[in-house]
Amino acid sequence: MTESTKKTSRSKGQMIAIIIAALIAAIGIGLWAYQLSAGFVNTNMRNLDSWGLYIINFMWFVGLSAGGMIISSAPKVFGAKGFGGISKVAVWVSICCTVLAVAFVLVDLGGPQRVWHLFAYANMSSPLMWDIIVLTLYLIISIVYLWAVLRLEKGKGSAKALRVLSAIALICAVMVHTVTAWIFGLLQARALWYTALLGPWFVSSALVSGLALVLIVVVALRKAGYLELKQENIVKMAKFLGIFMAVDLYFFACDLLTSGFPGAEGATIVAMLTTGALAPFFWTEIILSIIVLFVAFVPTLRTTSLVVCASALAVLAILCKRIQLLVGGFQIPNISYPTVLTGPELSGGGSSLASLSSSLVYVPSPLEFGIVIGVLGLGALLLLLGIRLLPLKPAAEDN
Amino acid sequence: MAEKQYGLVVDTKRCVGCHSCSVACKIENNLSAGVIWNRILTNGGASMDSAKGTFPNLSKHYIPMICQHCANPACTKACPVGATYKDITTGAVRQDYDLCIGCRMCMAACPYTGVRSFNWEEPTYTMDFAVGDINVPKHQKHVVEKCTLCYHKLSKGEEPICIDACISGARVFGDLNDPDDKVVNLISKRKYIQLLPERGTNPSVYYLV
Amino acid sequence: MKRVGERGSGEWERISWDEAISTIAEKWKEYRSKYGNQSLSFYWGSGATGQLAPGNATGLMGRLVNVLEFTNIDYCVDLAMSVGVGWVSASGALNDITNVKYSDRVVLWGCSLSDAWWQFWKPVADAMENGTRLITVDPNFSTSASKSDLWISNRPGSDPLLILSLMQYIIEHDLHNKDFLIGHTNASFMVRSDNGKILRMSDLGQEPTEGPVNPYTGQPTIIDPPVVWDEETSSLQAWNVATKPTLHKNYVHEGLRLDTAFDLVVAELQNYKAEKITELVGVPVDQIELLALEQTKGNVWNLTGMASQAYKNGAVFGQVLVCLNLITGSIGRPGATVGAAWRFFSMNGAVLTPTGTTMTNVPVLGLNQVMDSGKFKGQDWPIKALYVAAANPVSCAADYHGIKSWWDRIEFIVVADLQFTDSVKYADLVLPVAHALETEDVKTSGYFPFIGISEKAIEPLFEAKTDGDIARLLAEQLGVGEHFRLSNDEFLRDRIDNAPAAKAQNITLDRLRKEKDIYLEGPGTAFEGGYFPTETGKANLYCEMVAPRLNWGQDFDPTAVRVPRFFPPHESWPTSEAMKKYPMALMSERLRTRWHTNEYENEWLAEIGQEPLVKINPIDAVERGITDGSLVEVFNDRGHAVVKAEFSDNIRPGVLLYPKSWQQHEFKAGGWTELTSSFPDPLAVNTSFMDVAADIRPWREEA
Repeated sequence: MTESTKKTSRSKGQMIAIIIAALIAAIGIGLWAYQLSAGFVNTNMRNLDSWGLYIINFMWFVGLSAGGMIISSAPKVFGAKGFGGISKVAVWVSICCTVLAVAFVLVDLGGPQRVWHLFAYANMSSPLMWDIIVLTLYLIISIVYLWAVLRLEKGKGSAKALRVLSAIALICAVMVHTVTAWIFGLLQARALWYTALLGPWFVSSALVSGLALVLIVVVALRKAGYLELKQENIVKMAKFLGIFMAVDLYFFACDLLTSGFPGAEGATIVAMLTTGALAPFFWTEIILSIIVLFVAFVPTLRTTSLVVCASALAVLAILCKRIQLLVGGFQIPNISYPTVLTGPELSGGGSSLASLSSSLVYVPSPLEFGIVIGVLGLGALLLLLGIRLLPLKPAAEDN
Repeated sequence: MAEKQYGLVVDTKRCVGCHSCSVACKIENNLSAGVIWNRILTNGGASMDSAKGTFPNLSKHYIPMICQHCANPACTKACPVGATYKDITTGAVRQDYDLCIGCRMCMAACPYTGVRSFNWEEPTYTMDFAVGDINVPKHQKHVVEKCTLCYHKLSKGEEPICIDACISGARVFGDLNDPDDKVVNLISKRKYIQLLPERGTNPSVYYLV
Repeated sequence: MKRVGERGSGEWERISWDEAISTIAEKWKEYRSKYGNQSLSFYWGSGATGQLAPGNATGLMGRLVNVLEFTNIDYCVDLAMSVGVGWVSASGALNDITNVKYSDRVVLWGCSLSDAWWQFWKPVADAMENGTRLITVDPNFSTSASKSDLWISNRPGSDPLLILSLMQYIIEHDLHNKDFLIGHTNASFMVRSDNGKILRMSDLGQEPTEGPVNPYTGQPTIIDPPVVWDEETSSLQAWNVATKPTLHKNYVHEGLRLDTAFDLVVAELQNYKAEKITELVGVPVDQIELLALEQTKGNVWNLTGMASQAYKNGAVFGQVLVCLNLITGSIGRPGATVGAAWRFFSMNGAVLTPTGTTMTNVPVLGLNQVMDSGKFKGQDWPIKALYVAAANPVSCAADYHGIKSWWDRIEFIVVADLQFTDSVKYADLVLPVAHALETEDVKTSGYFPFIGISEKAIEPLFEAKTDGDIARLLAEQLGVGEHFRLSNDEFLRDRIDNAPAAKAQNITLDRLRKEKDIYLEGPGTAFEGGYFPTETGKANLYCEMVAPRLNWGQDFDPTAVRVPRFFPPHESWPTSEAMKKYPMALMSERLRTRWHTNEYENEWLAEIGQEPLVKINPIDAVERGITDGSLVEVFNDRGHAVVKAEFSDNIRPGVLLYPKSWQQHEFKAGGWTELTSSFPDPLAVNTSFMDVAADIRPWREEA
C-alpha cells in the first residue's frame, strides 16, 4: 500500500470507529433518558444496595484517569526522559477518563437536572462535594497542562513553567483519587470501607490501572502507525506496572490481615471476600494480579503482546477490586434482624439479608449495562476524536 | 449543640410487635406503595416473630426502628448539597426533598440499615387522594426520604404519630437535652441499649430492656 | 349481582336494587307459603357489630328475622368457656381489666394476649412494672410467653387436665382456702350417693317454703335448702342454719350414704396427680407443682383466650378453671378472677321483637343433620333460603366440605357484604353493603368498658346500601313494612335509651352524640365478696345438673360434669382414633393484619403481612423431609391446605400452627377451613376449631 492509501484506509477505519462510538453514545443517552422517566426501579439498585455499576465505574475511571495523568506528569516533574513521547496521549486518555468518571456520577444521580445544586448549595463537609470540586479543578488543570505541553512543543512558554504545572497536575491527580477514596473511606457505617488505608490504596490502584490503560493505548497506536515507541520504554513501563501492582497487593494484604486478625467484625468481611459472595471477584483479582507480576518481572515474558495482555488483566483486576469494594460495602447489612422486606428493599437480582449467602446482594440490570456501554462509547468517541483532531503525536526528539 | 434534642425511648419489654406505630406512620405521612419508614425488627430467630434458641429455651423481643435522629449524624456530613441536615430547634435530622439530587450518599453513610428509603420510581398510592396530615411534604421520585420525626406535628407542639399509636405505651417522646424530661428520667432509671453505639453517631433512640 | 353460571363459577350479571329486592321478596314469599316461615334462614357473624348492624342478629335485619320467624343459624363460636363458667358461677360476669393492677399473678391460658387482645396488654404491662408476675400456659412460645416470667408449654387440649392436677396438688398440700370453700361454694353440701343429687331439707322431712316471685317464670321461688354437716351440733343442718359446716364428712342417714361435695371432688382429683398425668399433659412434674404454687400466691387472675375452649372439652375447661379459683379463693376481689374481662351493656331487646315473634336458633354444627332428616326437634324443618350478613362462613366456619354440604342444599342464597369474600363467591345474589363509616351507629363490646358513637363519615359509596335500608326494602315487599317505618334515630333511641342499664347510668343517644364515648359503670369486681347469683349465693363446685347451651334435640347427660373431671378432646389427643392416622395437633393463631377475613384486600396492611404458611418445629419438619420455605401439604380426612412451611422453634414438637384468615384464592390449593371439624359437642354446642388432627408432607404438584 502506498503512504496515502495507508493514510486513507486508516482514516476510513478511524471514521467508521468514530461513527460507531457516536452511535453507541447516542443509544446510551437514550437509555439514560429512559432511566430518568421510567424510574431507577429499572436498575437493580435498591434501598439495601443503593449504589451499583455506575459508582463502580466511577471509581474505576477516576483511577484510570489519575493513573494516566500521573504517568504523564511524573517523568516531567522528576526529569526522567523516555516517557515523554507518550505523555500527550496519556494526558488525553486521562482527560477522557475524567469526563467518563463525571458522566458516571451524572447517570447515577436521581435528579441530574438539579446538578447545579452542587455549586449553589455546596455542603463543604461532604467528601462527595470535595470530590466534585477536585474533579472539576483536575479537569481544568489537565486541559491546561495539555495546552501547555503543546505550546512548549511549538516553542512558546518555558520548560520550567511546564515543570511547575506538571507538579500541580501530579499532586492534583494524587488528590483526585485520594478524595474519591474518602467518599467511601470516611464512612464509619461500612466496615469494609472505613480504613485510613483507602486513600493510599486507591492511589496505588490508580497507578496500576492508569499505567496499564496507557500502555494498551500507546501500543495500539504504535501498531496503527500513529506513533513510534522504543521497546525499552515499553519494558520500563512494564516494570513500573509490576512495581505498582506489588504495592497494591501489599496494601491489600495489610488490609486483609488487619480486618481478619482480631477475629471480630472484620473476620466476616474477610470471609465474604475469600469464601463468600464476592469470592469470584476476589480470587480473579488475585490470580490476574499474580500473572501481571510474572509478566512484569520475568524478562522472557516481557514481550509486547504479553505486556499488553498483562495490562488488560491489570485493568480488569482493578475493576474486580472496585466491584468487591462497592458491592461488598452493601453485602453485609449492619442490622439484619428479620423484618418486613417489601417494596424497594431488594430487587429480584438480590438476595435475602443473609450476609454470607452465596448470592450477591446486587447484580446490575440490563439497563445499567446498557448505559455503561453508552458511556464507554462516549469515552471511545472522545479518545478517537482527540487522536484524530489533536496534535497528540510525540515530537521527534522525544523518542 | 441543638437547642432541643428530641428523641424516643422505646420499652422493649412492652413492645409486642403489633405494627400499629408502623401503619400509623404510613398513613400519617401518606407513604407511597412499598415505602415504610418505621419497621419492626424481631430480635429472635430467622423469621419475623420467631424466637432464638431451641424449644423450649426461647427468647425474643421486638425492636421498632426509625431514623435515629442522631446527635452526631453521619448522613448530614455526607450530603453534598445539605439536603439532609440537622434541625437546630428540634434536633431532628430533616430531609429537603426539593434540594436532594438523588446521589444516595446519605444512604451509604447511614449505618442504620433500611431507615432511609429512595423513591426508585414515581410514587404510587393506594388511594387517589392523599391521606394523613395535610402539611406532610409531597413525596418525589428519585429523592431520599425517611422518618421526619413528624416535623409537621412538632412545629405544632404535638408528638409524632407513632407515640400515641402504640397500644402498649412502649413509646415515649421527649427532649433528651432537658434533665427534667420524662425520657431522661426513664433512661436514668432503667437499663437500656442503643443501636450501633460503637459507630459514634450518638443516636437519639433508646431501647429499654 | 346475580349469578348467571354455576355457583362459584364467577359469572355474574349486574342488576338493579329494584330487581334484587323483588327477586328476594318473591322467592321468600313463595318459600314461606309453601314450606313455612322457618324455611328462610339467616347466618350472621361478627363482621359488622353495633346496634344497627346485623352481627349478633341486631339492627333492622335482626328485627326482620324475628318478625318473619326465620331460622337463625347459630354460628356456635367462642362460647364454650362461658358455658362451663356458667355452670359454676351462674354468670359470666368478670373483673374489669383495669383491676389487673391488683393481681399478684396473671396466668394466661390459651391466650395470645398481645396478638389478639391488644387493648388488654397495656394494663397487664403496667401491672407487671409494679410487680405483677405474668405466667403463660401455651403449647407454643407466643409473644405473650416471651414477655412472661414463666412459660409452661402443654399439650394442646390438655388445659383442663393440667388445671385438675393443680387443684389436686393444692389440696394435697393443704394450700386451699377452706374458709372460702365453705363460705362461698357448695363444697360443704352433702350429696346423696343414690342419685348424686344434693341433699335437701325436704329429704330430711322439712317442707319447702315459698319465696319471692321469680321475674322470669312468674312463679314464686321454692326454698328447699341444701344440707350440710354442722360440726357445732354434729348433725345435718340446712346450710343457712349451720354455724360450722365442714368440708370433710361422710355419713349414713337412714341407710343412705352421704358425702360432702368436697370429698367427692377430692376423690376424683386423685386421678390427676402430677406424676400420673405428666406425660399426657406434656409438662414436667416440677413445672406442674410450680404452677400450682403460683396459683396460691395472693390475687390470681386466670385470664383465658379463645384457644382452650375451642376443643370438645372447652366447656369443661371453663368449669375446672373457675373451680381452681374457688379452691384458692382467688375470686370476688379486685385482681382475683377468671376469664376474659367483659363489661357488657345490655341493650333494650324489645326493639328487635316488635311483634313478639322470634327467630328459632338452629346450631350450624347440626345443620347437616337437619337437612338430612328434614326435621328439627321432631318437627318438619325444610330450609330453602339463606341470607348471610356480616359473615364469611365459607372461609371462617369449620369444615369446608361440611359447610358446602348444607350450603349446596339451600336453594336460594343471598350474601350481603362489602368485600368479595369466599361466601360472596358462592352466592346466588349479592347485595353491596355500606361500610361502618357510612352510617351512624352505637358500639359497645364485651372487650372494653365503653359505649361509643360511631359517626357517619361519608354517604355510602357507589350503589351500596346499609343493612338497615336493605331490611326496610325487604320488609315493605314482604308485607311487614309497618314495623319498619321507624328511622335509624328512632331505632337507636328505643334500643339505647329504653335499656334498663342506660336508665341506671343516664346514658342516652343524645348524650352519646355529644360526648362520643361514655365509660360504663359496672361491677369492677365480679362476684364481689364472693357472692354468686345462684340459688344459695354460693358457687357450684359441685354441678348437680347442667344443661346444654342450646338444646336442639341432641343427646346429653346433665349429670356428666357433677365433679370437675377430665374429658379428652375429640381428635387432638394421643388416644383418639384420628391421631392414629394424623399425629400432629393442628392449631391456629391470628394474623396481625386481619381480623378474620376482614381487610384481606387492604394494601397498607398487606405490606406488613405475609402469605399463607404453617409454622413447624424443625425437628418435625426434618423428620418428614420438609425444608424451610418449601411448599407443604397439611392434610387429614376432611381436606387439605397447601402452604409454605416456616421453621420455628416457637412451636412445640407435635404441633402445627397456622396463622388463619385467608381466602381460598390465596392458597396454592385447598384451605384451612377444609381441615377443621364441625363435630358438635353436646353440652357447649361450640365449634372446636383447635380440636383437629392432621399431618404434613412436602407438596408434590401432581399428587
